[in-house]
Amino acid sequence: MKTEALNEEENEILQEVINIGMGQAGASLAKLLDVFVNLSVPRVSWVNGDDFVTQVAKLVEGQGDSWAGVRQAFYNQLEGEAFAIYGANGCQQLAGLMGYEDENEDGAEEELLLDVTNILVGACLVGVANQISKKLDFAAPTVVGVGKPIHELLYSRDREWDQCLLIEVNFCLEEGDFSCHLVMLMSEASIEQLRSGLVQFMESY
Amino acid sequence: MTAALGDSSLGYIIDRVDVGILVVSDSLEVVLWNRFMEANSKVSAETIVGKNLLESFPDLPGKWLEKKVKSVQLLNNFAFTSWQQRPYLFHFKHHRPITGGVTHMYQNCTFIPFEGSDGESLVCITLFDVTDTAISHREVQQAHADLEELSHRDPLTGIYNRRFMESELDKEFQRVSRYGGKLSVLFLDLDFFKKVNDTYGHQAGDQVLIEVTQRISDMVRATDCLARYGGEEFAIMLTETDTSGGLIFANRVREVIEKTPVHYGEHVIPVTASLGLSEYDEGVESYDTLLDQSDKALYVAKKQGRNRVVCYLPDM
Repeated sequence: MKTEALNEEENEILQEVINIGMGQAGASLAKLLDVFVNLSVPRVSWVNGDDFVTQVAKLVEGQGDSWAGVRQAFYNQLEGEAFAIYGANGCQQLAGLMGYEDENEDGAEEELLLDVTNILVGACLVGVANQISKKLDFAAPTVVGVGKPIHELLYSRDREWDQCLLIEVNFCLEEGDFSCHLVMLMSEASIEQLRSGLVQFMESY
Repeated sequence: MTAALGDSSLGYIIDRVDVGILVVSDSLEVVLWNRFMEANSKVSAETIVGKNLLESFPDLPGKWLEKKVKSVQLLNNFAFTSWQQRPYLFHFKHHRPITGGVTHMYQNCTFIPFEGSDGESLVCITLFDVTDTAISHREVQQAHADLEELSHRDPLTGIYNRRFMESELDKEFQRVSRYGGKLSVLFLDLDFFKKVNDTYGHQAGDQVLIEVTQRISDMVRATDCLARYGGEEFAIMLTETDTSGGLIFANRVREVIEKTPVHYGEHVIPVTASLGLSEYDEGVESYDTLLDQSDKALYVAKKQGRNRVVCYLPDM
């Protein structure tokens, strides 16, 4: 059975729910880092699984050939995998703010990527899950690659799920711009959960 | 979680589960310290509960840990650390003294924020011993590196093989064709090698290949790439070298091989070599062409009577 894509109204609600979630994420980040954080309104779109790599590549086109990718699995009523993609050195300015400046170990930059990903993915999805009253848990994030062209980070694997939610967020810090693309792949069962949650959310509105 | 078990049963499980579990307050005061933590740290729960964690373990990354605890409380979100970036949080001994070859326990940690019964904000830290994973990962990495190195080498002589040399040549070719520079390729073939095998046996033939390789190896620069191309055929990529430099090098190689016969048992085996040289210029489209040109020059050297160096000319 093929899951139907969300309809226009459901997508509008989803966009709203994600806006709220990311807004909370931005507020938390600002509080944590004690700096001014400005988040762009997230751009939300659905892409077909086969098209996923091409779409993401298009999104980041012309922004260089060096990217860092981190993946994180989430499970429970919403389940799937999240990818966060960062531009070259996009995260370095965060290092000091996150309290890594006194560490020169090899793993420090990767650990920072993992931490930021965990915060962003967590904030975004927990925000969504809370609003639509669904349970959600996370596994530890892992680094897919650093300093690689985009197609090496998101090569077309044999995917079980073909619905892919693409969320594009830009962060502005006092220190300078820092952009991040979040890509969420969800199982068909989760999309049904998402739909039922969104419908309930709409009704309670 | 629905607990049909009483608090004492749950307490027992938390204490005895094969995972380190500790709970700290926002000021890093220890609230819970399970048996895994006791056994590995040699610090009892009695001693540490109520005390500041950093005072008891001054080696912990204090500033980092304070930020971590603050961040999970603030964001009300789980956080993770992995052994791949941060090998351990607590410096514990590992449990593989014989098979380990490591100096400490590798750990994955999870930070879980929650509210205590009096509304205070607490953080539970779980600590998984992943030493086995880390060791097998390291072994796989090492085996991978060994295999990769092996796949670049010719088993008899230990120098590079044709495949590796061609990939290096391809890279160098790309570089000079984009940014300019000099590049030459030299082919070398031992003369009448079949006769050596037929007269003295294959083991003698192998010995000749090994010794000749050694002599050429001593002459090439670190930036060059010497490979056994086929049976008794060798290829040498000469970086930043034009035809005149390549000729000087090729003739030195030819002379050294001619002057020093190979000793095998009581036999003294005379060896000579024919060499073909070609240089990159803008008209050359790919590294294959360069190889092909050197091969043609080598063919001419053989035809002209062997034991000589011939440079490629367009009419060959």
